[in-house]
Amino acid sequence: MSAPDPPEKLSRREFMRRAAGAGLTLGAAAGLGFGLYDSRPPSASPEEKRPVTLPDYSVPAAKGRMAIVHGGDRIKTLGAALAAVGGLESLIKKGDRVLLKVNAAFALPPQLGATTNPELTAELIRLCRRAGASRVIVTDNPINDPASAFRLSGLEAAVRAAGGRLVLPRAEFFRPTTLPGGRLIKHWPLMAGPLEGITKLIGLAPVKDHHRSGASMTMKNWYGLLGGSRNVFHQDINGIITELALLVRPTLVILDGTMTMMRNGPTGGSLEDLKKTDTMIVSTDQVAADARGAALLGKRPADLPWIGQAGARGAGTVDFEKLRPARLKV
Amino acid sequence: PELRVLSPAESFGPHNLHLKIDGKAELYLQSGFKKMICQRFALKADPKVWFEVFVYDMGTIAPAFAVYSQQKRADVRGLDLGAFAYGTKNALFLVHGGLYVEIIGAQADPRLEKAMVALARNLVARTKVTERSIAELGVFPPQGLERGNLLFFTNNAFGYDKFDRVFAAGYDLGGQKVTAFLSRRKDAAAAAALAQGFARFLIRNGGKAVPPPPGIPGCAAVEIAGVYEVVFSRGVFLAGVHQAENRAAAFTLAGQLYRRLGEIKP
Repeated sequence: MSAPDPPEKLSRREFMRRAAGAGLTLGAAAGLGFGLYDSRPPSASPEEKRPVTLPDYSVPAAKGRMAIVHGGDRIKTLGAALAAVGGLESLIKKGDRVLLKVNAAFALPPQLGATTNPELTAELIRLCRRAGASRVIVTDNPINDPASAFRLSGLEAAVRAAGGRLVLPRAEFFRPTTLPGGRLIKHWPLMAGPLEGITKLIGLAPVKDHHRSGASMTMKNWYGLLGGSRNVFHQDINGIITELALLVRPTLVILDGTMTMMRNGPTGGSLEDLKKTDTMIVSTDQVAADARGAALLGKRPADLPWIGQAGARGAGTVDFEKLRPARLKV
Repeated sequence: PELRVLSPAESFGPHNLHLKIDGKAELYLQSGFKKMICQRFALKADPKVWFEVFVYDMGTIAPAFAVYSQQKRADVRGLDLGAFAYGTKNALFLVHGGLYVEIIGAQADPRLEKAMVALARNLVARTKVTERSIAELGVFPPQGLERGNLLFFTNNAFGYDKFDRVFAAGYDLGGQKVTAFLSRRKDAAAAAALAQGFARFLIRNGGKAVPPPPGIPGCAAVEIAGVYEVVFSRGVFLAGVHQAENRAAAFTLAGQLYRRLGEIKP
């Protein structure tokens, strides 16, 4: 536990939150990780790699769009949500090369909800192509072996069936990147290869509990673009998620809360870890999407510090109601 | 059922467990994790039906129980695979000595369940262990005890950094949900000091001392954020009640726990 604050009258909820279980605290995390943490980024490969700066993939005219659609059929809720934010055609133009960043972190079956849903991915590929995309690439740098992760999660088959192109990580894809003003992302390997030539970027993530960060949603999804010994960032999980949200400015994020992993994340393991929450959140504001997504886990944005921190640093809108999201039921 | 190997066995240690389970690795690392082996198997008759086995070596039974109990699902079915074992629609979870075992099915399938149970039985039968129970769990008063609601925290129990190696048990006392806890310390002086330290921690965080239950020497009771905390020591044991909404229920359970610690020699 960190050093005691001056006495304060805790709300019941705050006391429960602080006293809940044996969850890792900052103090324990620092103690655990001190010997492992190396603030220096991995050294460059023998051939000096050119640093990369990610472009801003957002569409200025589409700023602040958001839709929250309730329903159990992902294809229908996705379609309704996209229509409600102006249609995919308002974001993707003929000839655009689109990259879908999915969560394929683990070599687990899709039924366990630990990875992006394959049917949803396939549908989005089809919609992107119908909107005029000349190419739709799907990628992630999984925690587990990439080939196994994409195969067992069902994503490989779904991408191929829908006419997308699956790109697995390769060593030569990674180039150093620095977030201006960043404390953590300094000359750190980023999976830039699949992003070369990309004109639109869409993040597609499930809603999951996460042992370290409290939740894994659209902002944390960008963790899968990092290379190197990225686990060192677990020491400052709020900081890294915030910096990722500043580093990556996507065209759109899709937060799939049809089935939410309520506990034992990020891997889950039991079908009992999942709850049918029947909610699809689509937004051009990733902070807003995650702020709304928190409720599906029974949490408030304030329970997930990285949401407020990302919002405070200009990555998006915490008070998502200000965006006046479209609300639908299908 | 006949199985075929779907993937080679993989082994992970403290330095790379995160490569398999990412952020959940900390739960195991803070509990003394030593090694994990995992492998996937499929039914020979239907290779699309598969499961993955994870065997975590946690050293001794208490840390194995810690990771088991902190991830335990509700509404599960018991399994006759030792003192700590349960099944869900698609998975089995159990403790065997210092091992924590997860067998995760790709789907809910009776053929898969049969295969997973058979594998679990085989593993239990062939793996000799010396620890099969945890003495401290037998200390908790039995009346109202929710046997499926037992936990072990290797550290940071209830948000207090000095609360390591704490067992907790959930109770239903006439509809009142209450948690009791206990922890064996180095000696009586250490137990008493820790009890006092916890009381001070609660007050520093906005709690208010209230008259403690009678009959428990050195006991402290604190009301904080609308719930009651009771803490005391008896011999080498620190013990108490946590987050009770009802003061009478908290005090009753505290008294029962205090007397139980005097009756038995754990």
